Order: sequence, then C-alpha cells, then structure tokens
Amino acid sequence: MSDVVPQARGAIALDAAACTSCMLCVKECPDWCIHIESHNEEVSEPGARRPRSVAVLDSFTIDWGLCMYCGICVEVCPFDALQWVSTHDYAAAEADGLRHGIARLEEFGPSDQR
Amino acid sequence: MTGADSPGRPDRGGSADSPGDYAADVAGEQREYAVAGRPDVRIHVRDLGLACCAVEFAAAIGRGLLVPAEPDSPGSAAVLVVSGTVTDALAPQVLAAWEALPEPKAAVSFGACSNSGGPYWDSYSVTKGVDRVIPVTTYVPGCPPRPEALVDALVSLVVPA
Amino acid sequence: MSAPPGELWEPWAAAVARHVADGYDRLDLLTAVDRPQSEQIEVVIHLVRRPADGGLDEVWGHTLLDRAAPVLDSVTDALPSAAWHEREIHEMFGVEVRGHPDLRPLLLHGIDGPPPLRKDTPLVARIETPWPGAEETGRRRVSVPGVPAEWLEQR
Repeated sequence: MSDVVPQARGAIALDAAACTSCMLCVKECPDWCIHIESHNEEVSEPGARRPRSVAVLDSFTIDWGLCMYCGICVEVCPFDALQWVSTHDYAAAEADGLRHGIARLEEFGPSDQR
Repeated sequence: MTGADSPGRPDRGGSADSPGDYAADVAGEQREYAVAGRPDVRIHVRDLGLACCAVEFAAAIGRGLLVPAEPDSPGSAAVLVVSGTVTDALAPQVLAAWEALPEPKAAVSFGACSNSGGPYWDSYSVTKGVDRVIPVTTYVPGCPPRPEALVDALVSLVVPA
Repeated sequence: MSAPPGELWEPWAAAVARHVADGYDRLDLLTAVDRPQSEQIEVVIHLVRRPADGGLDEVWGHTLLDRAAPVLDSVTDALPSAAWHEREIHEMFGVEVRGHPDLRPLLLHGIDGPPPLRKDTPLVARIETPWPGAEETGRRRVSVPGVPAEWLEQR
C-alpha cells in the first residue's frame, strides 16, 4: 500500500463496542449506504428494580461503492464509534465486494488520528 | 457541456444531437500511462475522465505516480480507467471507447459515481454504475479515491495483493 | 417559500428587451422554479451592466407561468446568450418557449419521461430503494427523507 498523509479520508473505521445501534448515522446518510441490524435484550443489573432493555448490534454494513465520503456519519455519531482512517487499498473485483461488515470495518481501526 | 456553438473549445465534430466523439479521443490521440518504477506491471493506462475523479488521475500523473508509457512495449495490456460520472446520454460513448481498445484489456471503475452512481444514486440521468455498460475488472472506492488508490488498483490488476 | 426577487416583468420579452436597451446586456442567470402550491412556474432573470465610471449595476426580474400549460416568450432576439438557458428551461421544466430558434434537447438525449425538475417528478431510485433507516426496531411508521408519501404509494 502506498503511503498517504494520515489525514486522508480513505475509509471510515467502526468501533463496534462503542456502537449503540442508535441509527443516527443510517438516517443521516445522504446515500443510504449504511445498514444496521440490531435486536433488544433485557439486562438485569444487581440492585436495579427492573431489567433494562439494551440494543445489541447484529450487523453493521457500509457500501463503499455508494459512499460519497462526506463524513456526516462520523459527525453525527454520539459515541465516536465511527472515525476516519487513511486506508485506501480496498479496491474489489466485484461491486458487492465493496460492502463491508463489522469485521472488515473494525480492521480499518484503531486509527492514528484518534 | 458540449456543442459546436461553445466558443474557445476545440471542435470535436459534436453537436447538440451527438455529444462528440469521445471514443476517438480515448482510443486515439490520448496519451497512455504506466505505473512509475514498476516495469513488471505491463499496462498502458488511458483515462476516460468524465467528472471530478479525473482530477485525481491527473494528480497521479502530476505527482509522478503515473508516467508516460513506452509507445511500443509488446505484451502490455490496455487499461481503461473510467473516472467520473457516467450519464445515460454518454453511456454509448463509454461503450465505444471500451470497444475501441485492443485486447488484452481491462476496465477500472474509479470512484463512487462510476462504481454505482454514487452521490447521484437517485438521479434521472446518471447511469447506476459503469458496469451496466462495460465489464469492470476492479472497482476503486472513494469520492474521490486518492491517486495512491488508483496506483494500488492498477498494480493489483497484474500482481495480486 | 421565499419571495421571488425583483419585479414582475410583464410582458416578459418586452421588459427584458427594454432592460437590455438600457445597458443591462450581460446575462448572468436565467432559470425557472417550479411552484406547485401556487400552480405556477416562475422564470427568473438576473441582468448586469457595467457603467462607464466603474462599478456594477444589477437587476432582477421574474415572470409567472401557468403550470398546467406553461408558455414563455423567448428573449433571444434581445439576448442571444439566453438560447441555451431557455432550452434548459424547456426540457427540465416542460415549458414551451415561443419564438425560440432551436429547441433541440440540450442535456436529455433520448431520456423520456416527465420534466425532471418539476417537483412532482418522482425519483424512481428513491421509490424502489428501501430506506435503511426504516429498519429500526420498534418503530411502526417512518417518514423517509426526500421521499413524499405520495411517491411511496406508487411502490
């Protein structure tokens, strides 16, 4: 991979542990290129009166073939689960090969720009 | 915009009814490039610059990542880089440019517009991916992709990562 | 809805010609706006002149057309450079431009369908593509950004 300046907007990395499935990035994306699937689980904590409902992330997909690299998703994420990284060497032989799920999106991070 | 009535531009023989012979431009007069410092990557690269991603192709030349190809280098493959927004009106010209290239050849889709329509995914006039017109070997993501991403993709055509 | 700039110029072509004769012979902008609520299509022009003593004078004018059967008088006699803009208004808004020398398609070669810049012209991709934001758990009804409810009924 050729070296580029670290500020380059090469890709957006996901920190899945920080994602709460709040859907803000999905809703704000002008290209409709982010897809999230999640389900709710009840968590009982010691001392709490009632179990708490928590969203659990099942899948997080970005279609890089469609993404316009505007960074709105990075800006709106309240939990800093998305961030810019300079990675750029992920061309694909199929258009579908540009759809990346949680595993590949996490590989992009952690970032030197954090 | 094209048209014989636009002043100060070379007359490509185009008119309001036919947007000019881009195929001839790409297949004929245009310069061919190779990856700098990689004689093992035997390709002749031509840019079909349709929108702003073409600036990144030019940046690859300007920064010395791409250099003019040796005119007669046997065994080289022709590579067509489609950089920019493909519109339905121009799609036949893109196909003609591809068909005019000699075998062996490959097409690189460079940037979101060419990959899928990109920011214009909902447009009435934009082709939703150049792969609806010509066969694509490699899709380079980015809006725009960096010049380095172009070089990486070109090298990977010949040398698998 | 913001108020249209400048004065209502009626009759249109004569008013444009009068301003051109008055030295406003630089065409800066000529375009249209679809106003479905008032059943009108608004045509806007911005003309500029440079006085001999320096500076820049500008003037805005507009006219309102019947949206159901919009007809605009061409101003190409006074302003030849208006020809491309009137062609664009013709094909993008479906306006008949009376007296225009050449109304061949400018941008939409072989693309049929309703005029693309009319606000009720559906964007097919936005109708056919499911909005990923609608997949949120627990929400029953969602409004999709950029997609009027009438379009969704066409699914």
